[in-house]
Amino acid sequence: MVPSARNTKRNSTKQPLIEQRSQRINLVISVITIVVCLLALRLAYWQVLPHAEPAETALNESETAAQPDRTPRGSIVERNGALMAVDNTWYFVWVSPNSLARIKETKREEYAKELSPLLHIPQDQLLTILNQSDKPYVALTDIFTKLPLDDGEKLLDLSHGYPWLGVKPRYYRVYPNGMLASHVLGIVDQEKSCGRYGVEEYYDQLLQNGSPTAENCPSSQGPNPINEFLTGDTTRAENSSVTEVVQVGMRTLTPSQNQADLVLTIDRGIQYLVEKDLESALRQLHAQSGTVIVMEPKTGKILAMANRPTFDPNNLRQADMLKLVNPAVSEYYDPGSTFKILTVANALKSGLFNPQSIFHDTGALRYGGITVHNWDNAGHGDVNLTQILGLSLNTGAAYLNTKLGPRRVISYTLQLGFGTPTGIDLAGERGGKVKVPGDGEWHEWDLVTNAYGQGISVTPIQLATAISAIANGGLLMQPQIVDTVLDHGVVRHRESKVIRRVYSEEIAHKLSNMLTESVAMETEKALVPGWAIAGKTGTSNVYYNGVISEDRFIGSFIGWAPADDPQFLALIIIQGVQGNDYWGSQSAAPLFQKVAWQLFHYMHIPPDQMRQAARVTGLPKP
Amino acid sequence: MIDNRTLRHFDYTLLLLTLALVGLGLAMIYSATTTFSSDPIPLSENFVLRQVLYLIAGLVIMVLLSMVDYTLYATFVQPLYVFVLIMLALTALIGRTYGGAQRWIDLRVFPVQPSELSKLLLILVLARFLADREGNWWKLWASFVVIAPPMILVYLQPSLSATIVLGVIWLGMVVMAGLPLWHLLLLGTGGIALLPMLWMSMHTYMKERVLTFLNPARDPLGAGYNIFQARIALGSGGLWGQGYLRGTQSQLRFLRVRHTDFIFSVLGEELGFIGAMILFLLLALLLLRLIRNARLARDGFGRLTIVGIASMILFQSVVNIGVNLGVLPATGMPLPFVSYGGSSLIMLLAAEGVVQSIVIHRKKLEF
Repeated sequence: MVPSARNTKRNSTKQPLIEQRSQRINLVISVITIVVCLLALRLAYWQVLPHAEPAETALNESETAAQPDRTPRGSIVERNGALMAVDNTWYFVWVSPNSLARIKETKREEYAKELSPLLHIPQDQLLTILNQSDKPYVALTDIFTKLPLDDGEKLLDLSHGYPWLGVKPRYYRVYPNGMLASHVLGIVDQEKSCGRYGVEEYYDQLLQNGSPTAENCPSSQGPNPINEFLTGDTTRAENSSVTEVVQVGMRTLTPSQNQADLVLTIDRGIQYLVEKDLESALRQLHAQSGTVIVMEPKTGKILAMANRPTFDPNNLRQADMLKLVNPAVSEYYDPGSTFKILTVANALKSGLFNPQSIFHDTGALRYGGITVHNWDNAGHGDVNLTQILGLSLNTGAAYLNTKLGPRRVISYTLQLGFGTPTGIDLAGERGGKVKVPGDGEWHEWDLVTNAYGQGISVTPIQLATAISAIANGGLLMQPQIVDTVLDHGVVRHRESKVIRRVYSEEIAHKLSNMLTESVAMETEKALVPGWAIAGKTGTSNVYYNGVISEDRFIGSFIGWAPADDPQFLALIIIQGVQGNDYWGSQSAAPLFQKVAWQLFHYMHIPPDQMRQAARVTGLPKP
Repeated sequence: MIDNRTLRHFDYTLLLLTLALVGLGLAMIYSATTTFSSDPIPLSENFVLRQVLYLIAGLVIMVLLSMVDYTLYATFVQPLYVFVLIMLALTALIGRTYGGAQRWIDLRVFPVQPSELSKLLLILVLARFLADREGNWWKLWASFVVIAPPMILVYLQPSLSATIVLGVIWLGMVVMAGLPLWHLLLLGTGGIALLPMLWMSMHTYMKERVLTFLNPARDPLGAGYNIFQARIALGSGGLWGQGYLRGTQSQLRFLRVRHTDFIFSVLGEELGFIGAMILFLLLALLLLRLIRNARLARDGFGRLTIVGIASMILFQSVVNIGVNLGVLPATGMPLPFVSYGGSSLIMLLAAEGVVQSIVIHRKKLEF
């Protein structure tokens, strides 16, 4: 094309360009209008057209009142016999104003005067209700109106003489310790009388004890947990005679003959001190949330399980419904460096390494397309396996896994129980997520990131259980929260259950020694003078709903003591610390120390020297 | 301090609409985060107060930006562009080290999401680039080279939604700059052809969300939870709503991230269809006001900047509301002006400051 022609073309487009501009602006305006209208239509579809689904779900006053009849639920006590959950009575009271329509106004005033103090409703308000002569039914109380027992009984008596007054005693659940162990216990759904979450849901069928409400509960679908208590010596359990009294801890209880009560492995004292200290630690660190699990490594029994934030089971109206889920068994996190314990144990298990094996740390390790760095971004030269733990070297852990290869690492990881629920007797337990080659999510680098606990999703209970196996000489135990069922007066103990041997006793012993040595190297803040502690810190990213969150970290510490004869293992997880103390060694380790120090005294664990001396001299074991 | 000209030509209607939206947002944030306890709320949890502080900071920035002749911004686009790239690259790199998404850079005063800031800066960069090339379709296509690197960096963070926002901003601006409409068809076809590739490169969490969107029942207590809860919240709102502070879904805390991404559901439940329509009206008026300002702009740079800002606000609103309505997969996109969030609000107000500057300085000289 000749230049002049081009020129004319440009000139000729000049005018249309302005026109086109205006056109384009109109186009934008129409797009905005159309999009807004479409959204409005969609919204109208949801909001203005009737739908059955939301109405069903929204809380309904009358539904609350129409709570089904149920028999009292079984009670829950902790290992010393202290009451943790019990049924109490409330009175459902209603009137039929229409049957009062033909009597005199003054008579209605009399009734209002009589009932007002019993119902704790102002007299004039009550009168207004009684005057609504067109109404066949008005509920005066709901589950939240907790009438005193005396008043309720008086009303019940009155109702026999007044056909327009209805009174029905109903049950509601009370948790005498308030928020204590609320996640472990769970709640009772007030509308359907179903146990939800925690022990209340897991043992719902048992606790409901054949109540007609039981069959409509989600728990009716699950397996019958009582079977767990019949394993081993079935005949003995079946033939056990009904007992009058039973000794639970220090207390002597009289089990009810017509309901099933539960005895937890939880120790109220330990639970209390753990919750108190967790709360103050979170406040001090300005952290978002935290979880602590204390268990007996030798039996898998949970001594305490605490989470913050939590809820008040006695005041569910104000509870945050999202906090009902127990993060200790239902929420995933990346365990971070605490997982190195298992990586090192696996390395020993493979036979390719011994504790003295040397790894040359240059501060960086390339594998699968990523470069692994250490937390301090430094290289540490020749280090052995204990130092890998003590210095918490990502490169070292990564190196071990590269030598073991994915097949071995994954199979060891799965054997430790990751990727499947531990089977703890709490509702809503989730299984975690272990990526495996070929599942579409596994990347080559997962082999090395898994070595230091990143890219693998576990629940706190899974990690505590797996590491307990090392404390327990290599035997993986099933964690357990209910110790005994008092089943209509028959005492049924639950036996501790070994899931499998995951490490040889020798490896477990070596690891124990290495961790005792390394924790002294790494985390002085966790130590309690006089008792040898084996443990490890961890720091990782906050992982929420499949997404790694922006600027929050999880600091954790897992440890057990006494290292040579573990009486307890504690996992501390602190999430979302504001400020710079987010490393596990700064946030979680001091809390571990505080908890451990108290446990030594509370559980009467003598200092190591004294205990070992007692062993030598044959003094009676304290 | 503020000169006469600024005062005289300032678009008060735009400011008023903005304040109405932020006010509505504050009311809903209060409703979404209020607790029944009488304990004093620490600042870290007092979202209303925090949002007010962000608003004040944003308004100050807006006024400052509006006083500067916007053509000055055009002269800085090259260093701004480099700055954006470095910032995004840094974020992507830090994210890599920690093995996850690291979208925030801690500036101590408040956390700013680099991707939020980069949106506004990239609009300016693109506007400058496109202003010289209006009507020339192949040069318009070339502008993709400008937007592609930041898009890739944002995608690596990883933030799929922010990547798409950048793409949409670019699209809105090239269409405004005169891209033939049939090219859009071409782009659409190309996009569909690329979908499988995108799917392959997506992170697990992204895939998870798309799958859950297609079938919320797949994971009703996990990723599908909020989709269900939002639907129930909206449905129970009805025409007039359950009343302010009375929504069962929101007050009983069934909804997650109520005060941010799902604030619309709180509004829909408590103020009903009518309340939602008021929000739509405010948003539409604000957008139309922006477009009116685009018409007023004295040059292509100004006009395209406003169109870029408008397409950003429109797209983010549509996506956020779409997620709430369950017509789009869940993604962490705030509702402009309404959702709680400092980065987003301050950036939007800064963007309006630029718009104000374009309006104020629409005539070169004034006597």
